[in-house]
Amino acid sequence: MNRKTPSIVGAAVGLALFLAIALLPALLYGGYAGVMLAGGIFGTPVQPTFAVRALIIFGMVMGVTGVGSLFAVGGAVAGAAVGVLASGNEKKAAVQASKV
Amino acid sequence: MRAKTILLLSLLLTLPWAASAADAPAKAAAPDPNQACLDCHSAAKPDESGVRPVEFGKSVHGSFGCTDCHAGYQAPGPHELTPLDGADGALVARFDALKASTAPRAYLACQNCHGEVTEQLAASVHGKWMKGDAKVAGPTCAKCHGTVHEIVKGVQAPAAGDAKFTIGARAISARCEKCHSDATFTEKAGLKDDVGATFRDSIHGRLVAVGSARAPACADCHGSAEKDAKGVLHPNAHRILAKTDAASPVAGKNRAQTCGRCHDGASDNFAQLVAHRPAAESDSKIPHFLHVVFSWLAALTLFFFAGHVLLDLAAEIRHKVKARKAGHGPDPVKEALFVQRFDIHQRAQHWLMLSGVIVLGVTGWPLRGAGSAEAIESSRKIMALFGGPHGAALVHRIAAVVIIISGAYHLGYLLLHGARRTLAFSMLPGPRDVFEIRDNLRYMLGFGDRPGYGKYSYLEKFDYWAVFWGMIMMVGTGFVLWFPVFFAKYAPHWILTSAQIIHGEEATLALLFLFVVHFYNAHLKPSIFPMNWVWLTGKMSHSMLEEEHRGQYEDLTGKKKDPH
Repeated sequence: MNRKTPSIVGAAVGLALFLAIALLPALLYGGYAGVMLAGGIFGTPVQPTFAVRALIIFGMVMGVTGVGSLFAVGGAVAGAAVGVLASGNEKKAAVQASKV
Repeated sequence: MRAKTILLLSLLLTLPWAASAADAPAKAAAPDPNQACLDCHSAAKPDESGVRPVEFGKSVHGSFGCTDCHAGYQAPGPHELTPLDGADGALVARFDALKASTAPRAYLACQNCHGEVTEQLAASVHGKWMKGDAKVAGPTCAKCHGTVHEIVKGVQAPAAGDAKFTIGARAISARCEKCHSDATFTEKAGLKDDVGATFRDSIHGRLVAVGSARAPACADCHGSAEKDAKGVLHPNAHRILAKTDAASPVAGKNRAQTCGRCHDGASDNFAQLVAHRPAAESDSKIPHFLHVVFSWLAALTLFFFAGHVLLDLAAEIRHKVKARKAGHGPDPVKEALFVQRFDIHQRAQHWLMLSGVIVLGVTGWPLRGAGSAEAIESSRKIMALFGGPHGAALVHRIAAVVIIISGAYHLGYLLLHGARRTLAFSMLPGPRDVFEIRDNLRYMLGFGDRPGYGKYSYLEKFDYWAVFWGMIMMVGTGFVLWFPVFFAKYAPHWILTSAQIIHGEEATLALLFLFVVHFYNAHLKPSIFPMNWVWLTGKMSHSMLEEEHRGQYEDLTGKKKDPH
C-alpha cells in the first residue's frame, strides 16, 4: 500500500460526507456571502443585476469549494492518522515476529 | 357468621362494577354538547370554513361548548343574530367597516372572559384603530393568536435560573411580521415596512431564528413588562405602546433600561445598537465606509486568488503531463533527504491557530448565515451540535482564546528570537516578491519557468501577513462584540457598529481564503495532495524543496537546477 493511500481514502470519504450533508449549506452560505458582498459593493437593497447575480454565483462556488476542501482535508488528515497508527502496529508486529 | 362475611365482601367487591355498569349506558348516551353544531359547522382542512373538531379539542378552549362563546345560539339553525347596541354595536360596526374580521363578534366573545387583556389591548397602540380614525384595521385577538378555534398555549416558562424574562411572545412575533412587513398594510397605516427584515438581520433576530431561548423577540422589548414575585420579567404583548409614547419601553431614555433587562449596565449608547436598521446605516458615515471598503477588499482578494488557484491548477496539470512524457520522476535520493523547515514551536502555533480558526468558523458562520432565510435550518442543525446557539457561542469564545494564545505564543517566539539576534526576516515582503509574482503569472500562463523562490514564496508571505492582519481585526472586533456593554460605556456608537461589520466581513474573507486558497496551496494541489506534511513533521524533502523553493535549495546545496 502506497503511504499516500490512507489519506487519499480519507479525503474521498470526507468528500462523500460533504456531498451527503454539507453541499446544500455550503451553497446557501456561499450565496449569502455573495449577497452581503454585493450589498457593500453595489449598495442595499441589493438589486438583481447581472453583476450582483455573478457575485452571488461566485460566492456559491467559493462556498462549495471552501467547505468541500475542509471536508476533504479533514478526511485526508484523519486517513493519514489511521495510516500512521496502522503502520505503527504493523511495525510492532514485525519487530515482535523478528524477536521470536 | 362466616357465610355472612363472604356475602358482605362479595357485595362490596361487586358494588363498583354494578355502579359502573349502571353508568355505562348513561355515558354512552351522553351527547357531545358541540356535536349538534359540528354536524353543520365541521371542517376537514384548515382553509375550509368551520371548526376542525380534533384541533379544537387540542386547543386551549377545547373543553368549551360552542355556545360558551357563540352565546344566544340554539341548535338547530337557522340562527338569527340579536342586534347589538351601545359600545358593542359601535365596535362591531367598526370591525365591519374596516373589514377587520370575518367574525366581528368574536372579539366580544373573547372580551367576556379576557376582559383584562382586551382592556390592555384597547389602551395600547394596537387598540387605537378601534377607537379613533384609522384607515386600516389593526390587530384583533385572532390576527395574532391565529384561528380562534385552534389557539394553543404559546407561553413558555423561562429556563430555570437562565432567562430573566419570559419568552411567551416568541411564537407570536412571527405574526407581528404579518402586518409589519406587509407593504400594503404599512403604507395605509403610515408605518415602516422593513422592521421585520431589519430584526431578522439583527443579532437578536438571528439568535431567535436559530432557536435561542434567551434572545428577545418583538414583545420582549416593545411590551411593557412587570416583574413577578421571583423577579422574572413578563413583557406583555397586549401592552405595546407607540415608540413616541413616553411610557413605551423603547422610547428615548427607557431604551437603556429595556436593554438592561438582559444586558446588565446597558447605556444609552448601547441601546442605540438595536435600532431596526442595517449596521452600515449608522448615524456616522464610518460604518458605511468600512462596509464598502471591506466588501471590495474581500471580493477583489477572493477574485484574484480564485483566479490564481485556477491558473496554478492548469499549470500543475501541464507540468505533470510534461514530466510524464519526459519520463521524469521523483529522485529517490532527494526524496530521502530532509531539511528542517519549521521547529516544534512554529508547528504548535500553527496547530493552535488552525484548530481555533476552524472551530471559530463552524460556530460563528452559522449565526452570520442565519440572516438568510433559506440557511436558517442548516444553521440551527450546526448549532445543535454544540447544544444550541448559546453552546456554540461558548465554544466560539473558547476557540477565540485558543487563537489569542497562538498569537501571543508567536509574538513571544519572535521577541525571544529578536533578543537572541536569531530572528530571520525571511517573511518580510521585498521587491523580489513583485518580480516573482510577475514570473509566476507568466509561468502559470505557459510562458517561462517557475520562479526559484527563497524560503518563503509570495503566497506564503501573503498567508502569513493576512493572518497577522486578520488576528488584529478579528480579535479586536471580537472583544468589542464579546463585551458590548463595557465598550458602549467608553467608545462611540460607530465603533461598536464598525466592529460588527468588520468581524463579519473579515470572517467571510478569512474563511473563504483559508479553505479555498490556503487549502489548495498546502493540501489539494496535485503535486502535494493529500498534504504537505511539513505542518506535522516540520521537515521538507530535498525533492520538494527544489520544486517549491528552488532559491533556498540552491543556497543550501550550492547546486543549480537544470531548468530543462
